[in-house]
Amino acid sequence: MNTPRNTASLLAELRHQLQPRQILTEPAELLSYGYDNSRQQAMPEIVVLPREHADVLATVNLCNKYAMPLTPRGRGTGTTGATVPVKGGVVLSTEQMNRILISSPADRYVVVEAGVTNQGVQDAVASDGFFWAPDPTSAAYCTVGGNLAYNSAGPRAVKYGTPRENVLGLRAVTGDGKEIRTGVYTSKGVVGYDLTRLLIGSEGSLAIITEATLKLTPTPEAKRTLRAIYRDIESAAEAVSRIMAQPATPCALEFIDGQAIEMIRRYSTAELPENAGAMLMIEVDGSLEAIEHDTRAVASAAQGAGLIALSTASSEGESKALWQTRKSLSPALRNVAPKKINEDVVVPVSRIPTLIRGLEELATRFGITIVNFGHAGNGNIHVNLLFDAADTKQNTNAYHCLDQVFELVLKNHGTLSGEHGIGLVKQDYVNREIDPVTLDLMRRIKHEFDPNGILNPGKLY
Amino acid sequence: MNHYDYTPELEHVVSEAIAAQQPLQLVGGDTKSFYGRPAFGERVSMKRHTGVIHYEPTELVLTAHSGTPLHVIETTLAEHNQMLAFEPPHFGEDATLGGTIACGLSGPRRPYSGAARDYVLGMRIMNGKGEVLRFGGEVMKNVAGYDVARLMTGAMGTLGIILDVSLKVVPRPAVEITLVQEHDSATTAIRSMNQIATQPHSLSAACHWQGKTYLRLCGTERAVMASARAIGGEQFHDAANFWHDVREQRHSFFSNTRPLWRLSLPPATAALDRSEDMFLDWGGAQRWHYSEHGEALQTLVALHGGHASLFRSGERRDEVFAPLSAPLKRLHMEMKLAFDPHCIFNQGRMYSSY
Repeated sequence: MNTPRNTASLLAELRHQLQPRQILTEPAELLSYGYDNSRQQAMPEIVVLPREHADVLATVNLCNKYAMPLTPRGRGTGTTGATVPVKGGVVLSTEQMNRILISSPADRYVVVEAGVTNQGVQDAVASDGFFWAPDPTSAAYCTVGGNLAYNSAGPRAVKYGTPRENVLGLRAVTGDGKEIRTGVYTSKGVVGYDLTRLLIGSEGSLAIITEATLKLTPTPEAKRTLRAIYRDIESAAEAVSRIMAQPATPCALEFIDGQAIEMIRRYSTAELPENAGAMLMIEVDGSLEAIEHDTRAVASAAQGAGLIALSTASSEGESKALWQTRKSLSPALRNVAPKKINEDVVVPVSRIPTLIRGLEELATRFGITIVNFGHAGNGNIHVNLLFDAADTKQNTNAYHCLDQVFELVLKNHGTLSGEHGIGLVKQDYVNREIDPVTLDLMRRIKHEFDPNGILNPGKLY
Repeated sequence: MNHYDYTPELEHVVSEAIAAQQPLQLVGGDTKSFYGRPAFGERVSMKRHTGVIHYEPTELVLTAHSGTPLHVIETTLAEHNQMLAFEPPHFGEDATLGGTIACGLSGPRRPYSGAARDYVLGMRIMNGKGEVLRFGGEVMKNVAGYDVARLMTGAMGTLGIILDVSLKVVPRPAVEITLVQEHDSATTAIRSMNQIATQPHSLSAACHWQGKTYLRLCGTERAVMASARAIGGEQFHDAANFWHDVREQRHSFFSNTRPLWRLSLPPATAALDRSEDMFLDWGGAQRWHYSEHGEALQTLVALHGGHASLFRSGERRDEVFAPLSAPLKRLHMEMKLAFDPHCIFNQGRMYSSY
C-alpha cells in the first residue's frame, strides 16, 4: 500500500539517495522547469537532476512510494506542454545525463544518455563519417530523450525516417520503477513485442528513457539545393508527388504557402515573383559522381504545369542564399502578431491543396492570419495561427478556428500531430482522431507500465 | 481481384470463442507455421479476408485486408514500378500480408532500408473482446496515440487479429547490380561488409558464404556505378535468383533439416566459433547456423550483445526465442491481457507463457 503523497518525506529520502546539487527546491530555480515552448506553465515542487540511470530508478521508486507526480523533461523545447508539471510534484530533468556511453562506428551505432543534445550526437559521430537522421529545428538545444518522447524528426525524415526508424534499442525505467531494456545492440530487435517503438512517441507517460542506442547513417558526399516556385498550391502538390515517385528521393522537401511567401516579401528583402502561390525547397544528397545526375532527375520532376521559377544552387553560397528566403520566414512571422499557435498536422500529399484551401477559408471566416509551411514530402504541414491574444475577440476566434482546423485535417484523412505530440494543448482534440475503444486500450497500456499513474499525469489521453 | 471483408464473421467467431473458452489459432497462408512455437486451438483462416482496399501510387501508400496474398500486393506495386522496401520472405506461394506483418520478417534489404515494422503506417485490428480498433493511418508520420501498429508487427498474432494494414511503399530502384568478392575467411568478409556499410554507398544487401561475399547495390545508375567502382568485385549476372533464394531460404545452405538458428548480432561482431559453417547475411547482423546446442549458442550470442532464436526445425515445444528479462516478461504478459483478456489468440505461439 502506498503512503499518501508526501513532499517532505520524499525530499528527505531523495536527499539521502542523491547529491545535494541534484535536488532543487528554491522557487526561483523551480520556475524555469515549469514551462516549455508552448508557453504553458505550472510550478513543480521539486526538481531532480539525475546523473545516471540509477538516479532515475531511485527517483521513480520514491515517487511511487510517496504517490508523487513525476514529469520527465529534456531541455523544454517541446511545443505542446508535455513537460509542464500540471499536477505539481517532481520534474526530472535529464540535462546532466549527457554522456556518450558507447560509440561503435564499425557497427554503425552509438549509445547515449537521454540528456545528450541532438547536436551533441551529430558532433560526436561526424568525425567517423556518420549522422543520426532526426534533425528537428531545435537540434542545437533539444535532447535525444525529448526527440524520442515526441518522435520528433525534421526535414530529413522524408528520406531517412523519424526516431522510430533510427533507434535500435532503449534502456528505460517504467512507471512502476522497473528497469527494462528493449531492442538489442544490433540492426534488428525482434525479441518479444516491439516496446522500443511503443516508448518512442509516448511523451514520458509509460517510462523514462535513460539511454538509447541510435542507428547511424553514413554522411553523403555531396548535397544540392533547389528552389521551385509555383503559381498555386495545386501545382506544388503535384510536383511533390512527382518528386516522391521517382527513385532519387530528396533528403528534404519543404514547402511554404502563398501567405508565407507574402510575409517574406513584406518583411524581408528576399526577392520572390509577384504571382508566387507556393514554394518548394528541395535538397538532394548522394555521391559526388551521382549528385549532378540525381539533381537533374529531381529538377525534371519538379517541372510541370504551374512552375514559375526553378533555381538550382551550384555552390554552398548559392544554397545558403536560396535557404535564406525560407529562413527569413520565422522572423517575419514574429512581426505579424504577438501570439502564434503552431500546429503540425499531417495529411496525405494529394490532400495538401484541399487542406491549404480550407485553411484559407477558415482564415477569412475567423479573421485570423494563417501561415503554412512544413515537410511536404510526407504531408507534415506546420499550420500557424497568428493573432493578438490580448484582443478578446481575436483570442476567442483563434481557438474556434483551431477547432475547425482539426476538423478539416481529420476530414482529409490526416492526423493531429506528426512530430510535436499531444501534450496538454491537443488533449481536448485527441478523441476526435482516436475512437473510444482504441483510447481505452491505450489507457490499459499506460496502466500496465505505470499502475500508480505517477508519470506525466494530466496529459495525453 | 477478390475482395471480401470478413470482419463481421470474425466478430462472431471471437465472441463464440470467448463464450466457449475456445483458444483460436490465427492462420494466413500457413506458410510460416515452422516459425515460432506450435500453435493450438481452433484454426481461423484469414484467407477470405482479402483485397487491396486503397492504393494510391502517388501517395506511396497501400492498404489491404490481411488475407491478401503477398504476391498480389507485390504484383500490384510492380505495375506502378513500386515495391515493399523490406523485401519480405514469402516461404510459400500462399503467404499473406497479415502473416508477413504478424511474423515481422524482413529480407536481405533489411539492414539498409529498414524492417517490416518501419513501413507499417497504420492498422485495423480485432482485440480479444471482438472489438475493432484502429491505430495510425495512411499518413507518413503520426504521433497522436501510442505506436500500437508497430507493437502488433512481429507479435505473431498473440495480441489480436490484424484486419487491415497500411504500408508505406517505395519506388523501385532504377538500377540494381550485385558484386562478388572473394574472402578466404568469415573474419575478412565481416570486416569488408561493414567497412563498405560505413560509407555512403548504395548498398542494399550483403551476405557471405563459403569464401564468397555478395554485395548488392541499388539506386540511380550513376550512384550504383560509382559505388561499384569504389567497392570492386566481379559482377554477378544471376543475382536476382540468388537473392530470391537467400530470402526464401532456398539457397543450398538451407537444405539441411537440422535445427536452424538465427543469430542476431551487432554486424561487425568478430567471427564466432564455427563461423565458416555459418551463412552470414545482413552484413553480419544475421548469421544462420545449424546446431543442436541451442542454450550454449544463446549464451554465446548474448555475450556479444545479440540474441539467438531457433528459426526452423528442432524441439519447438520449448522456448524458441531468446528469454526475456523478468520485468519484460511481466510487461509482455500484461500487454497480452490488455489486448486479449481471455487469452484466446495464438496462445503459446511466441513464448510458452502467453
